[in-house]
Amino acid sequence: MLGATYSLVAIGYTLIFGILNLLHFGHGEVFMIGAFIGLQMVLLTNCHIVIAILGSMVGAALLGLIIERVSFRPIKKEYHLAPLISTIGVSIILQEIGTRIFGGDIVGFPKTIRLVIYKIGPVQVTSVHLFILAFALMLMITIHLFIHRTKVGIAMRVTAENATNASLMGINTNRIVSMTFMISSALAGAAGVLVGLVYNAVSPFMGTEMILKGFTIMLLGGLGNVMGAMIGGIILGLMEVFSVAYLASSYKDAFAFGIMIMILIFRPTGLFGTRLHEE
Amino acid sequence: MEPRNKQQLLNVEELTTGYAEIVAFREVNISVQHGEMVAIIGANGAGKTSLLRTITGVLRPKKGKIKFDGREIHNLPAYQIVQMGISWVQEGRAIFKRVTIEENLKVGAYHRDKKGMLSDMEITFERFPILKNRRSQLAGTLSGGEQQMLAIARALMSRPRLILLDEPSLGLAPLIVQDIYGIVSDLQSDGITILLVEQNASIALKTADRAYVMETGRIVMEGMTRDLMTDPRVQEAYLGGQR
Repeated sequence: MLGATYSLVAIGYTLIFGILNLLHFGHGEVFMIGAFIGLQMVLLTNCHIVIAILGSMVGAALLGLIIERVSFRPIKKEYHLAPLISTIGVSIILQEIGTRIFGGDIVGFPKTIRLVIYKIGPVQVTSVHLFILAFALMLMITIHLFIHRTKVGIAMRVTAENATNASLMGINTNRIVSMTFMISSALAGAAGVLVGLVYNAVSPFMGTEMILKGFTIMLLGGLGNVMGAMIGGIILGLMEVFSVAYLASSYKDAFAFGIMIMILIFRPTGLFGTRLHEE
Repeated sequence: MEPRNKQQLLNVEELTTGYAEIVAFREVNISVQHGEMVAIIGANGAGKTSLLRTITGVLRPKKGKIKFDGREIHNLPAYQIVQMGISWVQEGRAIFKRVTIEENLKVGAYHRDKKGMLSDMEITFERFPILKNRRSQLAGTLSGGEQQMLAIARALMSRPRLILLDEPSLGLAPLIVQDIYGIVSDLQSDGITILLVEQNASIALKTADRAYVMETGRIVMEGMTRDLMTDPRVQEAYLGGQR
């Protein structure tokens, strides 16, 4: 279940990485801010959780747009490290803003979904989990159709393949980059609320762990491969669940990052990887 | 000057471009009239592709002007220049290999409405039946000649008024080069203005109306292709051994 939310974060990474060839360290904080926006909406207006998720997606998308304008576009791309460092800066700034506004404590989500426990054979599933899975899958299907069926989706893919050539097709690649940031951030915002629901915990530091998992999944699925990110997220989620069940819950993260190292050693192109640089 | 200017579609005036400190070409003057096919011939490294990069807005000129249909375009971003009607078929094809053939064509018509795009897609498939049969395959699976056809077809999808063809014969077998040049001549008959850049001077001079000879970043000769073909200097430097 949780894997599906990982997928959402990883898709965002993958989209940004595919188009800009850049690891966006601030993405985890967009996820965190998204979680807080959803939480505040529920706390302040007592709205339905779906409305809160949509609100958080809009908020996160705007945040993504601002990040792109302020910390990417003005930076010279000739220096490969510069944009990367800039995203680390964004990450720290957002984390501190989060701490200042919302405090450093972990806050729980109020009860917004009636808790029902379903038993399917030996497996127990709660209504919260089902909701999260359904919502995450719906978003993934939407984004998949968007990327593969719409004109802007095609433009995103060709910009990822070669931005100069894309602009020679009449595509305003700056606009495509902005849109990519907005879409990726919206997905991260939704994932923030969903993860907040699962763990019943929202904190300014929740993004740090998520970003590393996002990297792992991106590697697992193959860099720049959206479908790989979807499946990779679910695989990582399942592995975590099994490691909790058969090992110990405190080893969960060690397990996840162990996988990352193994992939880097044995299959650097990822499970569904295509070679990125063909020329 | 004035009456001649009226028929000119592309006008490059005293253009100089470079990468950092290195000058790619210097004080280049070129004009292309409506409906004309003009060739630029010259050896590898003469600055031909840099000139096309500057016309399409990928490189910024250091000095000089580029006018398209009377409007200055040298400060516009690349995507706007395409939308004005200049389409560049790049050297080495530069098709998008990781998307399908059909999607390549769709991207070519990016700034146009869906209806025009779809009807042009049909016209394209009539002209290039190979592309129709394989429309949903990834473009990277096409052979070199087929990729060149796709690149030309994709450029046509934007309904260009001026097509820039960069080394369309490069790396292709002689028979396929003939096919491609057959298509190029058809395009001119359809009223599309063509600026052709070629190392293969022989085929370029046979196909185009007028030509410029470029050497180490400068235009050294220009004239009607029939005159250039018989010019001893051109024969010695560019047509030698091809007789």
